[in-house]
Amino acid sequence: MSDHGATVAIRLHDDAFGRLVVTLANGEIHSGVVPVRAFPFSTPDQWISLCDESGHEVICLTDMAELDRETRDQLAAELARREFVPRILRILRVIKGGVASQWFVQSDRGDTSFELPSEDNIRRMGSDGALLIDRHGIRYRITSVAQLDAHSRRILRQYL
Amino acid sequence: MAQEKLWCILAAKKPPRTGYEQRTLTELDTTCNQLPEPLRGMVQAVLLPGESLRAVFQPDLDDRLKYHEGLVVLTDRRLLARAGADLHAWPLAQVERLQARDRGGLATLEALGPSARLACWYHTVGRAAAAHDLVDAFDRLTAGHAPDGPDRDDDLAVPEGEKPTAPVNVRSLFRLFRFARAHTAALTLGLLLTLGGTAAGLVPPYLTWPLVDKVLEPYQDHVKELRSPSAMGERAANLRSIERERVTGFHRVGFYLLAFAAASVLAWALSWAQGWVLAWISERISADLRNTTYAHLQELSLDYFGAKRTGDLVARISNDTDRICSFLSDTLVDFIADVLMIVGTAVVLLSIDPILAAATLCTFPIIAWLTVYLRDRMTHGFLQNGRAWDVVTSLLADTIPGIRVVKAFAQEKREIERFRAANLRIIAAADRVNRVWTFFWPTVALLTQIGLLVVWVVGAWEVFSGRVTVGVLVAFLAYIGRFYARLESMSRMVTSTQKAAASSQRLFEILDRPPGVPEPAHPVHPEKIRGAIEIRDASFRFGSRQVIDGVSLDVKPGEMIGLVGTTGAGKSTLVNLVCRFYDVSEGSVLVDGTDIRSFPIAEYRRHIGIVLQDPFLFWGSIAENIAYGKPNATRAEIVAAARAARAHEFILQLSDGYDSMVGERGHTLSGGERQRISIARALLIDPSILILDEATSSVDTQTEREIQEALDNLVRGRTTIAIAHRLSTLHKADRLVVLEHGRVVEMGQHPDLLAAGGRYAQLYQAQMQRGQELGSPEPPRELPPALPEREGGDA
Repeated sequence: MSDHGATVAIRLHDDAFGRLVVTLANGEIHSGVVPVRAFPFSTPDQWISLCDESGHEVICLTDMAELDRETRDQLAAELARREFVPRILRILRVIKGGVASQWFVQSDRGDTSFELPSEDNIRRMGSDGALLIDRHGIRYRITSVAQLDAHSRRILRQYL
Repeated sequence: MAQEKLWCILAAKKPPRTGYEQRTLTELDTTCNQLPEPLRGMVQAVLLPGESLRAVFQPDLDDRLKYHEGLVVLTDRRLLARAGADLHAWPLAQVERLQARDRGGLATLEALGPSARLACWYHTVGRAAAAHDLVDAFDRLTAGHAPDGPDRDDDLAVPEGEKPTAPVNVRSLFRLFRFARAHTAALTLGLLLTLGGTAAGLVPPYLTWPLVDKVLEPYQDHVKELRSPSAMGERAANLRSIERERVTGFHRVGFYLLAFAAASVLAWALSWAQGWVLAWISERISADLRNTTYAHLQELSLDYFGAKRTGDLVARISNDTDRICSFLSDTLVDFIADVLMIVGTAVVLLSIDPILAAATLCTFPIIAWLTVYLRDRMTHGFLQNGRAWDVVTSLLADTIPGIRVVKAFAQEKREIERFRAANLRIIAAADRVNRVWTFFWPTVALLTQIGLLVVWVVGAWEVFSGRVTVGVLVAFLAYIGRFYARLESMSRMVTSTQKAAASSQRLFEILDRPPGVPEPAHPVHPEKIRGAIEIRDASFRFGSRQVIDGVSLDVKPGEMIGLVGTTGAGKSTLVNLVCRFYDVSEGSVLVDGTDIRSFPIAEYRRHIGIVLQDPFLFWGSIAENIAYGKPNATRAEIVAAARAARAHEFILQLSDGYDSMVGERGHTLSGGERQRISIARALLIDPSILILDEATSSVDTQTEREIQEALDNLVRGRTTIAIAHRLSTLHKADRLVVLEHGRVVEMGQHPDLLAAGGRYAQLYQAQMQRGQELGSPEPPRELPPALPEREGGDA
């Protein structure tokens, strides 16, 4: 929201317990806040909300670009620490077993394998992306299907 | 049946329902001329000179409740009734009131005088609407405003849904041409290719004739002659001659076989091209058909969907269009190719040898007759088959979304049983069809063999009598193989043609249905709607049931009206009339002083926000669901709407935030959460008029409180009509309107209504009592004794 946005003067730091503390422009201090992306897939770097421990919103940052460099880096680091969404770089093979399937992939977090309970757990994201959600709810992203190699694309085509 | 047809004719004669067209007196006088012949004669016979007809009603039972066509006629002077040969007449002055009632299947129309009942006519409930119309016409007459024309356009209303369903008609397939017109060029190309392919296919058998007669046989004869003992003398010369013959023979054979191969390759290439072109067209036609049907479906009024089963509609749009597609791409093409081939073959055969040709074609009429004969028998079976499939798809569409109910009541076994029973119907229907066509194909095969036999017999006789050469016979045999293969494939088409005809008929059943609420002919474009709603003497009727009966209500811009009443009192219907999901049968609804029927529907609805009891969320992300009414909304707008609806924070707690997917049944969200998303959805379009249809009745008190906050945000500054069972939802209402049996019985503010001790007080007491019994503090909280924060409307 614009009433929070524009020249957002907030400061972030970790306290002794490793909790994130935010100091708002009006001097209010909230500790233990959690950054949450409101639109994690469509616009990951905009609409980031800082929520307190009980889930109430403390401040909503419309655009990370409006923060000063230091805060932005801090926020990005904080988000990175809380998010685990491996980006799939290459699909090695898929073993089908009934409706479920076992996927062996290379990701930006290393090689891994996971189980998809059903085909519904793969869905398109935007025009060219894809999102896979495994049995435990872990999300794997493919930013651009077109940029995958031919082998991966061939596998993926059966599901999308 | 004849009588029903009569009513249908009456229906067809009705002018199009443009809603607010006023009929003039002269038009009304011609009503008599609009009646179909037997009825018109009967009516005219009883009218006095100068007397003008107001309404006609035909009761279909006599006073012993036996079927008997009667006649009740209302004119501007008298009420007339024919009973057998007698004619009763009452001057209008004698008739105090007409009263139509129905109960079960039986309905009565009574004429009441000041001190006694004058007459009573019985009819089946199918005629009840017409009876009500007569009553209405009478009421208008006696109310005195009749002469300037009744504002209703269905004076001679007809019970709906009584039109006899036509049997499957292949003619409906021809209507598909409407969709083919867009592809005329491609279609022409396809037909040319078919023609070429067929012609090329006719060449190879033709070549067998010269091959045998001009090459093989002469050579064989020659060799035989040279090798005969009489010619043994000049052996060396003969061998040379044989060698020479062999070489020239080989050349000729080579030529014919090459031509044979070339023609075959050409036929293959052409039929490939033709198949591809026509498949391309048919895919597009069926996509057009799907789009058109779906677009039309979206325009149909809610009552159409209420009467149809989802599965059935889904099947029509998916299966039926697909069936038509495969019919167009395979069957139709094959059919055209087959007809061409058969005609071509017949021509070629006749040109070679008429007698042999006649022998070849002799079984053709039998097969043709058999095809026609069996088609009629199968048609019935296919329709039944289609209906059986409808039951199965409807069952699936019913039970899969309702699976929780099924499981909760432990009815899995029964559902499985129901499914099995429906499946049995498919088997039974299929068996009936299968019995017919399994007989059909072997019969065709047998006739083919007989035809072959006949050709052999006639051919052999002709060869012996020297009429034809062996080559001709060989060519005929080559042709006849193709000929019968084509004939057989044509007969197979009967099945898919009938199926496709049934399918296209089902699709046109949707397409032929006029949209429930028609778009205005001269639309008034609303700029900004302030939200003043004026309901003027509105009535609405579902068939014979009067749901809304003369309701008048003025709502000022920004005012909040609470609609109160028992179930079935007509609250939802009234709201639906305001939304223009239905059009009023009588009276009008005005917004900002303009009849809502003169606004384009979409533009008008853009100003209306609706929050329903069961918030339906579409398959998609939360952001998409909130922005449903305004797809180009910015993220800021979406978030603002969600904040106002108290949904922002719980959305942030979801793993994917606003990008979380929610589905049709949205199991991941609670009822309150879904309701708040739907409130955000209504908020985002910033409507001037807001409809809350039992928005909080499906949630618990705690959730209701959360929703209430969101609702309070929503209501602010908007004209609101809220329906609630729980009177608590209405604590902010400026005025409460109590409906009963489609009429407004009370109107005013909570304390006044309570003090009046009427219907509202009863409802309130009942809820109070129940609240106390349950030990819940609900009613006191929900309805403060006074409504301080808003100034009330006129009670």
